[in-house]
Amino acid sequence: MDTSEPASSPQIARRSFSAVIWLTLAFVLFAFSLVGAYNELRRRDALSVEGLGEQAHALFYTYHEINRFMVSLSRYTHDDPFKEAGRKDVERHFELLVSRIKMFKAGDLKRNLAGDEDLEQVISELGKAIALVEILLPDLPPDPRDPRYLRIVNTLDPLRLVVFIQGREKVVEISARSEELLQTISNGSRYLLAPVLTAGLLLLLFTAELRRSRKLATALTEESMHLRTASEQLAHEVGHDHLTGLPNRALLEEFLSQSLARARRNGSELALFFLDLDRFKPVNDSLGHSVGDDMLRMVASRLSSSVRETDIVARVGGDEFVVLFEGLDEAGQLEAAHRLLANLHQPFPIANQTLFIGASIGISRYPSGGTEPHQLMRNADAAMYNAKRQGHDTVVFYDPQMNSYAEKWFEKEAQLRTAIKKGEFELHYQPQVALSDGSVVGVEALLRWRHPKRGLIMPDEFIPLAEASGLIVPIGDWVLRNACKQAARWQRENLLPIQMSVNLSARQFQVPDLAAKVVSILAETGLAPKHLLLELTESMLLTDVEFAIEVMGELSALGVRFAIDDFGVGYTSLNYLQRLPVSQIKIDRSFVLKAPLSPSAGAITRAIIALGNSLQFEVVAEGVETPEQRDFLRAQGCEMGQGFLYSRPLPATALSAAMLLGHFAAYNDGPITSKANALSEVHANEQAAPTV
Amino acid sequence: MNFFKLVLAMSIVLGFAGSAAALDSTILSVQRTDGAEVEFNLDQLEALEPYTLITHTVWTDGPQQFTGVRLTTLFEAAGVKQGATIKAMALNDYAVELPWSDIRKYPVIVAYQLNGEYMPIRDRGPLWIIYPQDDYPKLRGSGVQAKMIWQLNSLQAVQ
Repeated sequence: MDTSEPASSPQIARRSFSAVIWLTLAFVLFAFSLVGAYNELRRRDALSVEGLGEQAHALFYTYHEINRFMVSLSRYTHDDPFKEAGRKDVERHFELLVSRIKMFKAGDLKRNLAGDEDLEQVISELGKAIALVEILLPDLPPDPRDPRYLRIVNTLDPLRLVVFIQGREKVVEISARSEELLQTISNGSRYLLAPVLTAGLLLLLFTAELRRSRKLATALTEESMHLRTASEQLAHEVGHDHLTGLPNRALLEEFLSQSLARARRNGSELALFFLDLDRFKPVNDSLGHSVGDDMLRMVASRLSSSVRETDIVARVGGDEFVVLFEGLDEAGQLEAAHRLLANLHQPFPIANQTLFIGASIGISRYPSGGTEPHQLMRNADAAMYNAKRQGHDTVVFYDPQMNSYAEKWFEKEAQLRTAIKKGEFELHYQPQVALSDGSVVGVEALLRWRHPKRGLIMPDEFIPLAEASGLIVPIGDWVLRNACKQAARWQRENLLPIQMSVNLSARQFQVPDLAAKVVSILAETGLAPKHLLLELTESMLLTDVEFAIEVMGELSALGVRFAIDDFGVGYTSLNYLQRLPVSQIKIDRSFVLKAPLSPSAGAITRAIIALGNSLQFEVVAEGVETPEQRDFLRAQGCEMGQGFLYSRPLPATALSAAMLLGHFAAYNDGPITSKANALSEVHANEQAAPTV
Repeated sequence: MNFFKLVLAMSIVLGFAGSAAALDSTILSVQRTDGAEVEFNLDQLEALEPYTLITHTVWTDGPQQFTGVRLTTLFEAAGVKQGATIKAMALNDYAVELPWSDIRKYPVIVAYQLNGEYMPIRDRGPLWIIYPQDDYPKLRGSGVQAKMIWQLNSLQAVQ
């Protein structure tokens, strides 16, 4: 220890001088590194989570607005039985969507966008899509088959999914970034030792900043958790159907693309079942939407419980469901389809009643039924339509020949549109006779389409199309006018004071000026109102009972009479029956056909006849084909009937001739056709088909 | 304007605000704590004392001039008594709560014009709640941003 050395020795002074320099240098170096670290921290704060959060938020809302716009557009174009949405809703949702997309074009969102090429491209695509919709929207008619509507859907639909996926990626990125930020700060504490020794002041600054950042990072982690929960909830909400809680169409499409990717990779089986409920509409129409909703919920839970946990059940429309099966071979798929049908055949105990429905299933399989999601959906849908046409409660696998189905539908609609102008429609008339003596009491007017290439077409082949396209209203008017004209002519020719029954369609019945229209047709044709009998179905009456009472009251005051068609298959309550000015009920042919043989059909027929008689309605049995049926009906007190036993529907001239010959009045024990063979042979091309 | 206020006050007392024509173009409905609803169309809002403020927002570029009505003025006209919060709802179903203290402390406005132009729905109109973020640095940040609800169509005073 050298204590004799003076403190001011030059050597020491030099040494301490260089130490000062070194210290200063170190200080400066640390200061620079600190400033760098400080700036780096600040930059990360600014960049990271908040901007991403805003992007994720904005993307999810954009997705949401696209969805809402498309839903209201679809409601506007389709005849949605569940809710009414007008053009105004569509326009409002479009404006909201535009405002959302414009947000990406200014302010922080625009600044944060810089450099994110994917997102920039999505926004630019959205901008283009919106510009297109803006052009197409003003003249868009409420028609789901309008090419402009299809173009809008095809433009927005893929973008919707892209926006959703982008939003989800941002949320994932947020978590990653905030974790990274915390990590960086924790690692940073290693460098703290040096600053403590050299620069207390800077250290204070640094630690203060550090603490702020750490707090921010923790807050951001929390925020990102919060955001993630919110986005998952939002994703669940937009991905699921509110009524049944099943995935909706949008989510199904995601599942489907994932399943398809697996099927492609592993060469595994994938089948898409498109299931549409049979006989659901009458339930919904006559028992009310809340019963309909209950039934849909029960259907959803039955479907879910009839499949494995890994299979996907989704609701894609009013009463349309899709089930995705992976790893089942064709036999397994068929078995699964029948299991679904069997479960739906079980009675539904709802609102103190036991209801029965069924379903038609179309199946498309990868790859023969399509290799892309929309192909599989479309083809399964086409197969489902075939199942429906084959008579409900059936399963049909997609076959490439079905492809042309949609085109055929379009073509047929165009032909139907011109059929009135070209005079291709005809009315045939089926006599209604007194069962006691076979005398003609009235006739029912039945529509036929004489197609230039396909010959005579029965109404059940084109009426659904006419109803879907709205053509039913002009066609129905044509029927009413011509039937009245014919009845008036028969009266003038003094053949019989014949009563003319005419079927009204649901759409015609809903037209507000129905009463005025009937009055003007009666005036124009000169038919007395008391000779006109309008046939309605039960579901038409019950859709809006008050309206039905009003319209029917107005017409019955003039003398027009009403019949309820297909009685027994709906859910008419006696209470309504008494309130409505109905004078005739027609027993559905399905009961009449089985009545003498099946005890249950017999019992129902008996009950309907007794009910009709006690309420003083005329009771007409439809579809009387055999003497046994006639005898059974007569024995039960049914007074009138129509069917092939008496006469098939005939054109007016043929029927005039038969009436002139007195066939009906004379007839009692054998079918008219045996006495008037010549007449029926003229119409031999007419297949025995149910009357409509 | 005083005359208008009188008419408005009278129509509120009588239980209806404005004629049928005015009801057609209602752009804002204000629900008081007693449950009564007062509806405003644009003319009626513009008849109230206007307030203009200039501020930046995170959704726009550069300073913006907003013209509208102070919430305090609006509530006075609608006969809303002080409550705990105001629930604000928008056309796009977005909803947010505005505390009374905000409205009392700062000139928060319901803007109907941006830079002298009325705002269509696609530009966040027709009404937009604006906080004076430039004048009060405290009001910057995501908490206040969430309260600046656009496409506003209803306000509900909650006790």
